[in-house]
Amino acid sequence: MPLPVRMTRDRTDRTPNMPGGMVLTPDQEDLLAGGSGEDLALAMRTVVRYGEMLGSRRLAPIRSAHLVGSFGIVIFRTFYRRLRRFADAGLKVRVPTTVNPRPGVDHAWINRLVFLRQRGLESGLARLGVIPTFSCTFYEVANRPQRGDVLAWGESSAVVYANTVLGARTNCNALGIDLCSALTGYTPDQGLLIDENRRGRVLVRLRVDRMDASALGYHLGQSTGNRIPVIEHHPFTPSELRSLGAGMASSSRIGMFHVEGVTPEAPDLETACGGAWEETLTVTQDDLDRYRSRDLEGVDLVVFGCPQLTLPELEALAERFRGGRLQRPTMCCAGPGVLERFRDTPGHRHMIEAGVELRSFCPLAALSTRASSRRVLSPSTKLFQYMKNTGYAPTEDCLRAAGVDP
Amino acid sequence: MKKLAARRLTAGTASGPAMVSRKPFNIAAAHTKPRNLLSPFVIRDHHHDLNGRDVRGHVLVVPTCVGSTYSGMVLFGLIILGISPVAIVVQEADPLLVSGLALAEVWSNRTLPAVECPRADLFDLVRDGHRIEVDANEGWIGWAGVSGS
Repeated sequence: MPLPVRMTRDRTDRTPNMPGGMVLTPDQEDLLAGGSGEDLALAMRTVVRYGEMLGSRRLAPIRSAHLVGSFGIVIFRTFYRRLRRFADAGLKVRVPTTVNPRPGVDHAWINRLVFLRQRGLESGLARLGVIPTFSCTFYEVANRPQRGDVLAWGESSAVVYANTVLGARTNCNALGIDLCSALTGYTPDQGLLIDENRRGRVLVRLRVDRMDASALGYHLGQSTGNRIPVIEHHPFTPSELRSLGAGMASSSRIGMFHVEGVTPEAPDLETACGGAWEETLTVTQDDLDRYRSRDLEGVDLVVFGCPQLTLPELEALAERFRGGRLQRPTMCCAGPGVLERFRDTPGHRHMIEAGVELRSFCPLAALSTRASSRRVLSPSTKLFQYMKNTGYAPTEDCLRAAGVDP
Repeated sequence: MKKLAARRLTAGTASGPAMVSRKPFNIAAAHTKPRNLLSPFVIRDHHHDLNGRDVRGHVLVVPTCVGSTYSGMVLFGLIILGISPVAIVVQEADPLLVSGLALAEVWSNRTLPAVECPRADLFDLVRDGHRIEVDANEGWIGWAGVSGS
C-alpha cells in the first residue's frame, strides 16, 4: 500500500525574509563583487540567489561538478547564449566537470531539427574546459569522487549513485545552476549536504524471492512519500544499486537510499536512520511484479542502457549474446569512453555478430523525440517512466524478447 | 480580506485568479510538448488536473514542483517571453522552481513574485478561481472571495 505523499522539509533553518540570510567567505564576497570579472559575478549571484531561496545560510566549496545541459534543444536559446558569453569572457570551470550524454543527433531527421544547437553547445562546453565524457555514468571513466566529497552534480541517477554508493554528498542540481557552480566552485550548503537530511526514515523489509532492483527502486520512489528509505540487508551488486537508484529517482525526488551492511553510511540500521525509523514498509514480490510487462511479443525494439551501461555491465550482456542471433532490433547504450574500451574486447565482437546496435547517446533523448511510435521494451524503470510506448521487464525477459535464450 | 503570511522567494506584487491544484506541478512536462511550440503557455500534461489551462494572468498555487532538472529553464523561458503565471505560490520551495526564478532574476533581470506558504491547510483556504493578491515584498497572500469570472 503506498503511503500518503507528504511534504518533507529539510531541517535547515529558513530565514523569514530574504535577503541577508547568507553568510559568505572573503573569496565568495570577492567573486560576488566582481573581483574576478562581471561574468563570474553573475554566476556567483545565481548560486547565491538559488541558495537563499532554498533557505541555505552558506555556500560549500565543491570537488567536482556534472552538467545536465548536454542537449542542444532549440527552446533553451537563452541558456546557450549565456554559456557562450561565459566562454567568450574566458571563464573556465573551477573544478573537474563532466557532462551528460549526447541526445543522438545522428539518428533521425527529427532529432537534427530539435537538436539544432548541438554543435554550438559542445564547442562552448569545450571552451569552458568541461571534460567531454557525454555520459550519465561518467564516474566510471572520469570524475569519480571520494567518500565525503561535496559535489554539485546534475543528473538524478548519478546523484543517487554518488550519495548512496560512493558516499559523496550532492544535491540534484538544476540546468544552469550546475554550470554556475562549476564556474564558481560553490554550491548552497543544504539538502543532502547536511547530515540530518541523509538519515533514513522508512525501513524497508523485503519479502521477495526474485530480486528486481529496478522495479524495487521505482516502487520505493512511489511509496515512501519522498523520504529516504533504508533497505534491510540484501547483497545488491553495484549494477543493481545503480538500477535501483535510477528507478527511485524517476518516480520521486529522493536523492539517496541506504542498504543495511552494503552502502557506506549504513553499517547497521540504527546508524543509517540516525536512531529510529519513522515507518516500516514491507515490499512483496507482487509489489515488484506489477510493473513488469508480460507482453514480450508486441515489442519492436529492446533497449539496454538507461542509465548508460558500464564496462562490466556491457561485458556481462555480451556474454549472453555470444553465438546468438537477434529476433528483434536491440540497442545497447554506453558512454563514448566505455564504448572505446569495450571495442578491444571479445564481447564487442559477440554483440556485433549477434546484431546488437551499440550507441553512445542517451536512449531517452534519442528515442523520445522520434516521430515513430515503435514499442520499446527495457529493463530500465527510468525509460518506462519517461517514454511513451515503453514497457518494463527485467533483464532476463528483455534478453528473451531480443531473441537470446536464457 | 483574508491574509496568509508567506515567505518571499522573489520580490514583487501581483494579483489574478488563482489556478489551484493539490498535485505537485511538473513544469517541464506541462510546457514542452509538441503542441507547446505554438502555445507554450497552455499546460499539456495529461497526468495533471490543470491540463489544458492557460497559465497567463493567473496566480499558480501548487504544493511544490517535481520532474526534470530542465524545469527551471522552461520556467525561465516563459518568464522572459512574458507568458508565465503572474505569480506563483507554493507550500514548499523546491530546487526546480527556485532555479527558474534565480535564472530569470539574475540572467535576465526579469522576475515574477513568488512566495512559499508552508501551511498544511493552504488548499482548504485558497480555491481555484479566487482572486488572489500576492505581496512578496511584505510577505503575504490575500483574497476577498470568489472572483466574478
